[in-house]
Amino acid sequence: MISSFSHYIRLWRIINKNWARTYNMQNITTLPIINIEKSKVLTISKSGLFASLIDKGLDRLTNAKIEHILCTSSLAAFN
Amino acid sequence: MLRDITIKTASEEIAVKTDDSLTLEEVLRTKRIPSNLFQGYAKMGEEVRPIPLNTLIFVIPFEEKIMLHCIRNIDLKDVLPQKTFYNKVENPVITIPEFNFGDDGCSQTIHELNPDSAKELVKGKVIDFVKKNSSFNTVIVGISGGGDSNTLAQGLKALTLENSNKRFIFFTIIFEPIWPTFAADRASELCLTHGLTHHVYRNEEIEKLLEMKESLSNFYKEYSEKFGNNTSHFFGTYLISIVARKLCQEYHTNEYILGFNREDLLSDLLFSLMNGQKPLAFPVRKFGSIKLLMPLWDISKVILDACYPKYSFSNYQERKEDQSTYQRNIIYYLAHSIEDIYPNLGLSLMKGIEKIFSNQWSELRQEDNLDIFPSEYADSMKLEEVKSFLKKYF
Repeated sequence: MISSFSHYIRLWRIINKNWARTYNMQNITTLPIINIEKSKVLTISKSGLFASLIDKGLDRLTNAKIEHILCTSSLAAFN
Repeated sequence: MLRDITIKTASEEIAVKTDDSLTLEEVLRTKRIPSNLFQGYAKMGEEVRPIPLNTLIFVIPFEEKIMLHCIRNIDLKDVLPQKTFYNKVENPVITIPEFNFGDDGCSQTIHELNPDSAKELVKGKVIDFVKKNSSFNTVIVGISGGGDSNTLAQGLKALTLENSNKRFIFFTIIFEPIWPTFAADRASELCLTHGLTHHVYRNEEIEKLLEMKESLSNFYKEYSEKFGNNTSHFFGTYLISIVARKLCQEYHTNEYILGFNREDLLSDLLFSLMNGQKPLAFPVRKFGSIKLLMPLWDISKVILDACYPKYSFSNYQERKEDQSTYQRNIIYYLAHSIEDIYPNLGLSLMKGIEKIFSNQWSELRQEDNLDIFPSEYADSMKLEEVKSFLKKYF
């Protein structure tokens, strides 16, 4: 009886955790949020594993690359 | 439910009890250990099977023993704190860890800071920096009204008390939605408290000061149309820079100060380096004959914000859903992460970069008497477009 109750509690926690992940509910145990796409078959190339962040868009901070012109700094943005 | 896990390195075996709703990776993260330094295993009798670290502990059968094995022969006692000392203060707002190393292993001192001790720390650094790097009697200082740039005021005030010839002219820009009115109010309040000269510039004053041909609102509207709504941060920084440089002319000085902090500059450096580009000079950057001084360059934002927690809190709450580029979001996140992985890792990189590029920083050249100083990496076509756009307004 005790065993099945504790099993139920653990199961509830797992469901709750995955639910929070799926629905972007932010809490301390789920950050950073991971959206799980259950049905997707992964046929994605692995070449990205060796790609620089530059190849993934970090060759610029703005589409027009104005960071090199107006701000005379890559970021130069008060935050 | 708690579960036993063995963390094994070449030199030791650590038994930990952990909540089974965590993944193995999350267990390592709570102990400041990078997950790419460990492989997970589930062991039953003599049989051992490798398991990925994103496995939830709960799903590993209870009969199996869980082991996290270090994949390098690193003695973690040398790397992670084995002893902790506390540098305590009353009513702390933040804590900053400092790691120390030696034959007895790694130890850490947790420095607690309250607003008073944070201000004292920053004040001392600002004073030292300005004494070393500033030669003009009058210096223009741009403050935004956030916790960090306001911290400048106290240190600079102390300098004026030491040297009666030294004068700091503070200014804040109000330009909704980038620079809101309440931020300027906070800056005014602070400067008033310290008896510092402070000017607030709204649209009309900016247009007059910069002798603009058209309104600032139109300038921003067209800028947003041309370069995108998600580039407002860049517009804001450009605006505060040109106002500061114009004030330098008005007050016959060649020096201005802005509150770039450690992570601001680290982000900047990371972006330049990953792109194979020479970084821009810091903590003193020249725009022609005018020098931008960055006295907060090695101070973490978290320390600066701790100086005025109430101002900082208001500042965070005023932030709207940011329309920033994803690149800017990533690069700031990376800068803060580097500092978090290991205390002062970011600062150490900054100092190394400063050493490599000393006197070889990326050059900034003024274009057509306009107040723009593009870097050598500016696209020439885009530069012409920006120049003709600016000529319409200045």
